[in-house]
Amino acid sequence: MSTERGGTGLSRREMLGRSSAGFGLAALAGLAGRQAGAAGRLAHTPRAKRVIFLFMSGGVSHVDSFDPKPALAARAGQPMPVPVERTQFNHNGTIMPAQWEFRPRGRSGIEISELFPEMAAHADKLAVVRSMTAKFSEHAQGNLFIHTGFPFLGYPSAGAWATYGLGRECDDLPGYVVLQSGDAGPPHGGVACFGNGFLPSDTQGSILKCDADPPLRDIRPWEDAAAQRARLDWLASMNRRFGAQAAAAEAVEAAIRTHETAFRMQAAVPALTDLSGETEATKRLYGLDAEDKQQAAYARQCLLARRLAERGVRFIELSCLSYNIGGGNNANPWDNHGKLKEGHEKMARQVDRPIAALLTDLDQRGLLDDTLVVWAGEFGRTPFSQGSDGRDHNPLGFSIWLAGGGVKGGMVLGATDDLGYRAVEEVVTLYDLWATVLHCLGVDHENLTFRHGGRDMRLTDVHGHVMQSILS
Amino acid sequence: MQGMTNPASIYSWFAIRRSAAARAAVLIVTCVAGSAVRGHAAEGFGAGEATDLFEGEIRPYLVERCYECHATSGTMEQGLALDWAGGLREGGASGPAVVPGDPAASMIMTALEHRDELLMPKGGPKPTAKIVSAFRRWIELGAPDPRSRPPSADELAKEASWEAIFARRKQWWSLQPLAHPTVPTPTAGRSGLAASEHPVDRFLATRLAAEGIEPTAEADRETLLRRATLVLTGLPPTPEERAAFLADGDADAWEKLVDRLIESPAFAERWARHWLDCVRYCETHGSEGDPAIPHAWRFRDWCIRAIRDDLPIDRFIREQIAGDLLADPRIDPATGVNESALGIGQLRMVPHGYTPTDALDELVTFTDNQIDVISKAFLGMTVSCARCHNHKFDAISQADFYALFGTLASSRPAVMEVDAPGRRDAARADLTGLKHHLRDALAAAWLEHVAQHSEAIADGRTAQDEVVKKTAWPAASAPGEDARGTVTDLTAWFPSGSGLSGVSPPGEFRVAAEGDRAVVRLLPAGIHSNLIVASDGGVLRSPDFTVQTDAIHVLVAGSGKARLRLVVRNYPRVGLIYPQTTLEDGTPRWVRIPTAYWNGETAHLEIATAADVPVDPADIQGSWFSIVAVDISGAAPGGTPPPSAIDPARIEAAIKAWQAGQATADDAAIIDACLIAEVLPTRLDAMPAVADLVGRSRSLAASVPPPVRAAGVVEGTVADQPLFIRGNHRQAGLTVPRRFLEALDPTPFPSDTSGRPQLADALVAASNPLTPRVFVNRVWHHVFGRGIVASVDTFGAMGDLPTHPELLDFLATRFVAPTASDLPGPPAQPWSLKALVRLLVTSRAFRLGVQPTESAARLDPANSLFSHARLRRLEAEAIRDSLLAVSGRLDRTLCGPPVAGEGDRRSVYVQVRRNAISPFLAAFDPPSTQSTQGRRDESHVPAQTLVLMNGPFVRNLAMHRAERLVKEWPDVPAADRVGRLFVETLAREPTPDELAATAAWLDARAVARGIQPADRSGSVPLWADVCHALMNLEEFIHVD
Repeated sequence: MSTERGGTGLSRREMLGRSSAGFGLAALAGLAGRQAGAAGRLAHTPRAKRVIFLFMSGGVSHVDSFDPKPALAARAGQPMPVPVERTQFNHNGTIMPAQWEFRPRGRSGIEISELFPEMAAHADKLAVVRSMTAKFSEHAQGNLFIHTGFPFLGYPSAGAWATYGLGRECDDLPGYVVLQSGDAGPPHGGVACFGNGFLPSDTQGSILKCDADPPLRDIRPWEDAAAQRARLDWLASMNRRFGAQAAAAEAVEAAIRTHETAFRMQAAVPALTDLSGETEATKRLYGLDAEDKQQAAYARQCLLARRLAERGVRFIELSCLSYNIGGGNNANPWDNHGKLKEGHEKMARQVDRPIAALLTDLDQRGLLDDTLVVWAGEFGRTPFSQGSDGRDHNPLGFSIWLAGGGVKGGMVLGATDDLGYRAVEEVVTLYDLWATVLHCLGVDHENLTFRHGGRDMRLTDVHGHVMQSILS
Repeated sequence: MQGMTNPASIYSWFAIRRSAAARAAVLIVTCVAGSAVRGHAAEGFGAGEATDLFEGEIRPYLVERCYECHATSGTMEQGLALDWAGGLREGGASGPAVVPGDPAASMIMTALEHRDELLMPKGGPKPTAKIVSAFRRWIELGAPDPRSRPPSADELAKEASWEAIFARRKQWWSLQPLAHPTVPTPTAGRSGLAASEHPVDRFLATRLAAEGIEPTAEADRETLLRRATLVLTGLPPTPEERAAFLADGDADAWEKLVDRLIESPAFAERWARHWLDCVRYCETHGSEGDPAIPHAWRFRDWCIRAIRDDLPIDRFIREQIAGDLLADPRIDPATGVNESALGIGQLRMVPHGYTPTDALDELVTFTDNQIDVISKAFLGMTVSCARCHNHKFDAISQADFYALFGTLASSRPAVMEVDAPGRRDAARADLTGLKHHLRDALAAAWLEHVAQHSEAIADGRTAQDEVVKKTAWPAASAPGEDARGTVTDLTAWFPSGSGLSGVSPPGEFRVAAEGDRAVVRLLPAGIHSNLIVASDGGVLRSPDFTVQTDAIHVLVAGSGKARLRLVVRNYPRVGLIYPQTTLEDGTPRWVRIPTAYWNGETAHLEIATAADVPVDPADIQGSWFSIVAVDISGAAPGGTPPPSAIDPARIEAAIKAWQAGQATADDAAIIDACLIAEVLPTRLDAMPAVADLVGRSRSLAASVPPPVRAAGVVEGTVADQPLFIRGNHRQAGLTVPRRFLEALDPTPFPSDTSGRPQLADALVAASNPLTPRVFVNRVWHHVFGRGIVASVDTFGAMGDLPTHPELLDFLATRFVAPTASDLPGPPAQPWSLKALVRLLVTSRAFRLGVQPTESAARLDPANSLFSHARLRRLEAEAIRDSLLAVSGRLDRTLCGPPVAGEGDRRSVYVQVRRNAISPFLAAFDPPSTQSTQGRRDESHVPAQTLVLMNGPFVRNLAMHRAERLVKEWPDVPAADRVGRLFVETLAREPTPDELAATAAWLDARAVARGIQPADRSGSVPLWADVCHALMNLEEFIHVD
């Protein structure tokens, strides 16, 4: 906190020394509160200002949802005709056809199954990527990889990078918020999936429990606002005296601003989670009234995601809830190694309507133009069964989709083989996903770097190509 | 090396080194490139300054940093070739790289100076001021360049060869031998810092004078007391300590204070934590499940004790690599533990994935983590960067990475028994003797029984056979008879643990540890754990082999959750695709291990008592196993053979042979069958003499304490590692001998050891200047708040340069060999952390105030020259510990298993689960659990405010303090109470203004809370508010 230090504990010079392309300044400005003027340093005009990441933890079966494979029905019950890579559970069965019927949707005619009927109605807004690949077939590594670009803890999450690179637009909420409700928890790999790694702490994901009280750790004061105000004022005067005496006036002011931000957060968070101002129609649209408790809880996350988007939060991540079916639990709800039909049915019902509502609501409020929505799990599932009625992990080819600011709707990128086992056309990686997301945010992924441990680190490591064909 | 007086010569030291490097480089270039490239001057090429600049600076820099992307026969990015004169002049997409005589118009200057967004070399270290000025001057002089034509691909390859680059990079400052600088005498000023005789002050003052910077005066004594106490112990001074120090008028009061603090246990706890940051200390493996690293905390305690005892740091380092293998282990007399062996616990603190489908990838990942930590923590080098290719910027080759890889991967993750020899052995000889007597007594009882009941034995034959069929040991070829390889030869396996004693002949037995029987079974030839002491542990591991069949069959018995595992590529966890069998009921059987999944992989077999498996061990005493045979053919071994007809005469012969210690396999099997079928007595009440011996044996065995266990590794199959081409572990290249870094010592390690002892020695060898430099700099960083090399973990080209290279080397040389007369105080032992800390803290520089002087603020705003003290935020642990201390709730118990973060122990004892860091600590920039982090971040984020203002932990501490306060100081007036709380919390009295402001706030608070004036003095919540508010001050969490 000596004179040259800003809010990060790094001096401006150190910070600039660690980062390239001027992002250090943007980030530094972002730490103290509202951040402005970063656009001047952006590589190009951003198409999106924020990201909503609908993380489908555990892995959704692409051949049952976004990647139609008639060959599976034709070969049902037969062994895989191609060599099969090692699977994690090594309990490989025979080819299992899609459990839901596919139909062309919208004007674009993208084939989407009955698993997601309401999302399917938005087909013309979606850029479906059917050739996504990941590098890990295990949850923790896969989760850390999709979040941070590395399979280990200790690296910044995409949300932290976005917040670091672009700063915050909102001075009473964190830049990166992870929503949870009900029994939703961090995925395997833990909260490191939302961590700031070596980036400044202010970029880390803050877990906001939508339906808990308090929704954020330590957010509720034990004294009334007036008493706390008086305490803060006393603290500020004492701190200023200390700042002057310790030659740290500037840093103390930064600390005081941090205290004030915390003070405002105490009011902002309850205001955020208070849905009394929302109409009944809106609540119904999302499914807050659903009988299925998990669906209602996920609906609350989706509605809060919109409210966070309105407030300018940079990166918003949602967390699915679990039904504890066939291997799925709260750390990996989609993970139906058994009872896939039952498990996916319930999981899909949980998220389908709320996500569709989120797209509708963002669109009608004009927010979809500058909000990029990303729907993805850490991997897909095998086209062959695991045991009799489940599917194992498959990172070799799976489907994700993007919608909103910067991407085309109603299009499909890439393809897997006839069995939906491996991506074979226009194969893309999760590095490419984040390169594309950063591109939509106006950032060249190769230039968003932070020097750490003797290397210039990136979200995309030394990889990544922007998926040009899905850009609008 | 003389002191520097010229401000422009900050790096003159490097200038000398670098030009030596350049000369070496030129020589090499001359040798390999030949005249074709060097040719004649293209234009105006002459002798003198420009030539020297080109050959000494420009050419080496272009070759090393630029050719990779800008060579004619390479990718020529942006159309730019920098490998010949024409290419420079022609330039690329952005214009001419060099315009002779006009630096301003030369794009290369823009790129090198980072004036624009063109930051070259891309991803590399920013060119030093020296390089930039060399380029500028060279261009001003007309940029003479002898490279008259583009080199061919072949010529380019030679010039930019790794050998040439390596030779240049080896000249990097931190790789040079330690210099032996003399202590300079400041020329300017005879007061303040310049008047100090302390060598640290003389180095600093000389440099400050040269820069024209006036250092700050000393801080006041109460500030210094708080600074020293927090820096050295991580705790604030108590009011009593403050009073004592302020009252101490002795000339050496400061030295006495420093000695007291350094000798306090709190010093060891704090400085151990500093080191734990360097080795990414943690207690779980992370990933799905986040399983515990068994006994990880013993490494933390080892670290605390080592620092408490001032273990020489060279030894401290060696024990962290090979403490289990040292010829002269340190034995803790209090616990009887092999203290040295605990040091390798850090090798276990790697992340492990959850049942990875690619076991080799997993091995590479966790070995990489070991290499990363070892190279950064001890050497300040990022060897991990050379996993896929030669290091981009440092003298570290890809081969170096795989040389260390082979060394580390030749050991296997393990739980180790760390009892010193003798600790558990007092009864062992007696127990062995008793067992001999027991054999005689049993034989006598059995022979008598056979003689008396021979007819009955002969009559009951058929019924007995049925019983025996079910439970007898299946037939097995004797270990070693199978010629398929070492896996099937149990004598080639690696035993570890107190409970193993080699291959036993047929007829061994375990004395029943409890119950009404003397002995349950006789054993066939094999390796049997726990033959003497039931609480012993044992692990038997096969050599590495390549899995080639769909199944392996192992003939074993075991109980108490002993485990048989197929260990693929040293992966220590189990589950799903990593087969294991838990042995419970003691029944001998062929266990089938399915191996089809791992066909072609390198693996080994492991059988272990329950407490000795490397992950998720179970603390079960009396766990044991027997292993008799291994069959890797894949086919199911034959069924149980019927026992030979039990004939009384044959039984008698078998017993006699057994008693004489000459039992054959058949003899042992016959007696074993008789025991199962109860043809021979085993019950104690039937054999009084036997019962007496068994009773004595049991009570003696019960006196043996259980083993002490720790996290570590054990030596496995020693193998050199092929390097992986471009880091692809499926594409093996040349095999690299196990050795240290080529730049420091290229001698290969012997073939009969993993090489860990040699690696340990190399890390602290006199020929290795990195280790002492890096360590001394880490200590300096913690004392002064910023390293002489600010990038404490990076001493390579991507790191910062030392601000005071001579001082760094002075400290490093005196640290290693503290005999010189230029050190204050009595001679210290070599590599003494405490002596080093004492040296630094007794400098006047440590005692300077935090306010910069006018000249310092103007000329060195970053305070890189230490003209004043650096204000620091306390680390997460020190904040939590300070809160506990001032609340009066701090529990000062030393060492032990990890505790919850909500408790009262010091933070160094709070559990460190990779996936669930204590939320309080997590708010204040805790260290990485992934890699070395010698320098903590200091962020200000709202979560900190919230946890301090609203969190229950701090509020409860404040309430606790207030409860005591109201009781202890019932009649103390409010103003005095506030004053005392200031002293407790901030180690100083409040100013009158502060007192008034606090009183006013307190009054308003009382009114708001509706507390009547008469009740204020006894109001715990009101006084908790005061305590709490003081704990929320920035001053409280900073050191000034």
